[in-house]
Amino acid sequence: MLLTIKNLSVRIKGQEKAGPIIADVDVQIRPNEIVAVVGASGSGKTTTGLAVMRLLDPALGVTAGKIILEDQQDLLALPASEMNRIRGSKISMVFQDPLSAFNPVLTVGYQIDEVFKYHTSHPGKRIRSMTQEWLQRVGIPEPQRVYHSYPHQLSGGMRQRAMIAMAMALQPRLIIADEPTSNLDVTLQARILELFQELRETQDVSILFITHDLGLVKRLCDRVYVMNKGRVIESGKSTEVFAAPRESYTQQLLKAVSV
Amino acid sequence: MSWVGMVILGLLYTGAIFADFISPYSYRDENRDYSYCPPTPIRVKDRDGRWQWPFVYGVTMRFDQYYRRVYEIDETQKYPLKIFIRTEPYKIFGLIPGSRRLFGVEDPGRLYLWGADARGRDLFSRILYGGRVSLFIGLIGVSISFTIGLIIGGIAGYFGGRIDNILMRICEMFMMVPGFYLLLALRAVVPPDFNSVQVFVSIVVILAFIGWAGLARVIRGMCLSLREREYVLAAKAMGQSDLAIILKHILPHTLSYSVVAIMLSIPSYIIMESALSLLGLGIQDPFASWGNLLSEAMGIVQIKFAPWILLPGLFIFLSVMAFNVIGDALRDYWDPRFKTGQRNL
Repeated sequence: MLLTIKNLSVRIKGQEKAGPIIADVDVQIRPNEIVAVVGASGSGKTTTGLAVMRLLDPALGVTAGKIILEDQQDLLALPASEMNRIRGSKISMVFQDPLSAFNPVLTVGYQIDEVFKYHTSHPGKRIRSMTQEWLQRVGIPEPQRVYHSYPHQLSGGMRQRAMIAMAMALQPRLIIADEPTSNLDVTLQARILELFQELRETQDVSILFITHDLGLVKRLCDRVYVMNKGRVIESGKSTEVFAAPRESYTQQLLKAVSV
Repeated sequence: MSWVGMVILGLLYTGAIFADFISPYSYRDENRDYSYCPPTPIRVKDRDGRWQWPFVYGVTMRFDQYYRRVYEIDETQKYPLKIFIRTEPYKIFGLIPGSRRLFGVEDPGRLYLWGADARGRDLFSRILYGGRVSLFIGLIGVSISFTIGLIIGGIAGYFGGRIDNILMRICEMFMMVPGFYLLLALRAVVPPDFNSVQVFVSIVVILAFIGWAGLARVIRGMCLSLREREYVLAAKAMGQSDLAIILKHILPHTLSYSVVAIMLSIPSYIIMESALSLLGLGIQDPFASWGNLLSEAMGIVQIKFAPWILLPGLFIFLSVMAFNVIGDALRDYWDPRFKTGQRNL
């Protein structure tokens, strides 16, 4: 198992009486697998993803559970410096809005370089060529130009590709993609999904897809977890869940979008 | 408006940096026979009305019946102005050696462009040299206090919570004490037998020490909002350290505010230095600063008989105005509400 989330519960700190944000969430991700977490807004999908990165809002706290990486380390028990080393190199993240996920005052290339600089000790020239190589690999036709561009100078699709290049830079085992296509138009969505599929085939990477787009889940994901009100209510192979949903909530969800 | 400020500052800083070359005399070049000698105008026509190479007449001094010094122009002595006159060697900021000055007159003539002080030193030269202290104390002080302010404010705003609380209470302790008293108290700690460089450095440090708190508070407020940006989260997700995030992803976004705040706070350093020197706690004679030059103008008698010793005050005024005008212009320039209109500096 690449990543095992066991009984994860997150609450608002200091409000023990209020209900949990997420409760008893169990998610398992195998190597080279694409897993989806679906659910309506506020169902706790993003919180689960951020909890894995240990990037929860400081007002939230994990009250129970374990997040075990590669059957060895419990991420929740690691010291902060160790966790920093894992972020980006073993687990990385792709965000919903690539425009706000890039710092507007630094070039895209510089920001991807930073990831290498922080985790490796390669010389600057080599880092630069690796960045450009990744930009090319995610399907950016002019990596040289994009390298020197500022985020606002790129189109939405380009930015999301650059974001994926940044997330892939250190060849992590797991990418958490938090609604990576919801801000893109439909044709771009398809392209980005193709890119994810391609990465899965060529690189040894698993992807945790956080989304509310069931169509996307059906096309792309091996397994699916359905969340509602902070709990995982149904899980299984995506083909099976889509063919025969057990829970009424899942049925409603499927009916609502008619996949 | 702001280009006027820039021109004024440009001239003042050039004058201060190249004071050794531009001024006709050294700041410590005194001649007691010319105490409070009035300005010696540079003439291009002699008394017969003939055009000539610029020159100054000699000056003779006598005592009147009240034993006051009276200076009279002695038209029999003419000292032509010399360009690149050779004088005693100097080093600009101890680095660039030179032995020529831009202009001057041969001894025994004296060139007092803006009059002389009590010890017969050329006020023009001393104002140029004094600008080194007064103008650079602001720049150096501001860079120290802004470094401290940015770091403290950045840390407090980024981490929030208890760290924020502690740092902000410390800031408030500094802001609580009226600045000038704190200045005097800190100055009292500095040993009196410091040499001029040490005094300069200690004044800069004291001023910086007082000035950082206000900035830190504003920067902290900006960081509180900046840390919620998604690129900060993205940087964290890529495993960057807190320090790198503060320095690369948060503080650069406070830059436009900081630059304006820097411009607007330099004047307060100039004024505080002047105030210290005016009270005799700053730069000591024979070294010059505008405040210390102005301190000679504290007696009504001196002002009555030698009004030109007020000139350093004009320079304090000009530099403070110039910084304020430029700071205001920069603020307008970066004000988003101003964007539809013209954006001229």
